[in-house]
Amino acid sequence: MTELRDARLRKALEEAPDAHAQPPARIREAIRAAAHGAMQPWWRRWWAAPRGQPQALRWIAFASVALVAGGVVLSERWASPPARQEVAVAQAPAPMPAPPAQGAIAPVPAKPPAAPAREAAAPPQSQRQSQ
Amino acid sequence: MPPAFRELPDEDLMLAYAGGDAAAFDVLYARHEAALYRFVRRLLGAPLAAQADEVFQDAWLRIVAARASFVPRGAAWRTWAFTIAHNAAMDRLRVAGREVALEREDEDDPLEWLMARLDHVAPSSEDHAFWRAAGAQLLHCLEALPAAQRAAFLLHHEDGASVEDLAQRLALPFETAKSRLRYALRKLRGCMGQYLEALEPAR
Repeated sequence: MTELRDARLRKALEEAPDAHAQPPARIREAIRAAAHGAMQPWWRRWWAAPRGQPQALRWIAFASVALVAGGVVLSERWASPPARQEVAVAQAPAPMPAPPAQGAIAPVPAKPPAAPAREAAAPPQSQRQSQ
Repeated sequence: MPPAFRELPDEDLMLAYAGGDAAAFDVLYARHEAALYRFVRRLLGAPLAAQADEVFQDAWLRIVAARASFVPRGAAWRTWAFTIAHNAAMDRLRVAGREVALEREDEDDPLEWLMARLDHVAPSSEDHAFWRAAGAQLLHCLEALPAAQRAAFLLHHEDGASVEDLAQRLALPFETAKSRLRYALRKLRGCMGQYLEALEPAR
């Protein structure tokens, strides 16, 4: 025993009613799982079963992610071909008009523009009144 | 569990665990589970006993999280782990409002208020029963100490920390750590009175 260390108190500590107390098994398992989990890559930690979480929940989460990812990929794939066709059409050279075949009927010439209206030819009404 | 791990010191086990060997952790945990659990329970005291499991788990999770920062040259693993457990428990005491941040360490007679709060139990004549009763009384006495003094006593008597070590771990000046320990002992000896009087000082 020294001034600051009392062997009697130490002995009393060793014999105290809580001297053999142990943590509950669930705490022990949780600590062990966390310690082991920390050694694994993130995706495996995510997949590892947390206590009390049903396996079905993780399957649903996994299926949802896969479904969304698949949907995005498919929509990209379906959306792309028409877009490419439109671009191709826009960039293609315009076809030259085919030469008229011999003996073919000549095309009817376009209708000449209409004659100017009678009002334009006639003087305005005010001028007529003054005359 | 690899048998070779059982022979390794704590520090090597921690390094093996930090290096990716989870089995090393299991050995380390099995070695220190009881002592750390007891330390946390005693530091929290009876009013927070219901939270001991949670704080104990928190302490181990802090150890796991800090695995990469453990340096064996700096401190023994046990010292390092007990300091982490101490910090976890003190954090909880602080939240619960039980910590007395600036306890009066210069009070003239700290036993008076302590004696007023505690009941003494007469020691039994049987050896085992006597020590068990003394242990129960000591836990009762510890309850009445300020948390900082309780921590100093437990680290010194249970973990075996020297005063220098204690000062370093609690980030205190040497004299402060020493006086904190001295006041804790003085109160505890007074509180344990009849039990200690019945004994020759153990050496």
